Amino acid sequence: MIAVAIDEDVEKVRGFADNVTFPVLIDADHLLTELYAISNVPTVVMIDVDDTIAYPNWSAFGTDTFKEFTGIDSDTQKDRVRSWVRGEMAPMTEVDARAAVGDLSADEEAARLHFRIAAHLRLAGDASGAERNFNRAAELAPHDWTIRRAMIPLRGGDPFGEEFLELYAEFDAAGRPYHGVTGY
Amino acid sequence: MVVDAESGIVAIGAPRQRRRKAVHDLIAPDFVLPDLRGGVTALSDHRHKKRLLIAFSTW
Repeated sequence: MIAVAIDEDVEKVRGFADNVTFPVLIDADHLLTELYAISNVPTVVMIDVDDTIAYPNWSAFGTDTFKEFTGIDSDTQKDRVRSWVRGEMAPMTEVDARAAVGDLSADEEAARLHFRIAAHLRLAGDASGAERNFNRAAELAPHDWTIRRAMIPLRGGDPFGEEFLELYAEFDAAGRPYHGVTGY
Repeated sequence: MVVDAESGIVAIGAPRQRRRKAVHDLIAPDFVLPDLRGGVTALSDHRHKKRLLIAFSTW
């Protein structure tokens, strides 16, 4: 297992990742979301011994915290991972795997870069420059959680508060767009 | 590439071909990132093994 936190706050991540024995990486620039077309977390990718992607972006959950929102049962998903590890579950067909993850649009790419600039300006103390770029990122990728929800704590908000519920309502109304499969 | 004219900052993204490798060729693109142990870890540090790559967050 390799866990990548799409996050800039190392200490917060450390609090989440206490006692884990696998590598936990910090991706402050959201590079992984660019390389794998990831638009929400948790997203899991099953990678085979030869580096081929056996199962692409998958909205998998280790716990049932968000079951109310997602309808995803974590035990079923963990069983699937175990089956794959044991070699009891064949990889997805290439046709299905290609169909599963839509590429990022040019706007979604640009949103990631504006987010990166915003995060940099925020740390450099340029609050208005950060706001300008956060706003642009949100306009370009309105239903991308790695943009919209990730910016909430950076702008002083509560990612589990009212703003999250509003975002969820917008996301739901837009048909819950996701670059990947919501549960296998 | 994105330009923020007011601050004079230019952000350059990863080449699209690297993502195409994932979404079209179904080959996992390699990456190197800092880890919680104070070093860096690459996906390729664990090559020749099955890997479960998990993107998560604290938000």
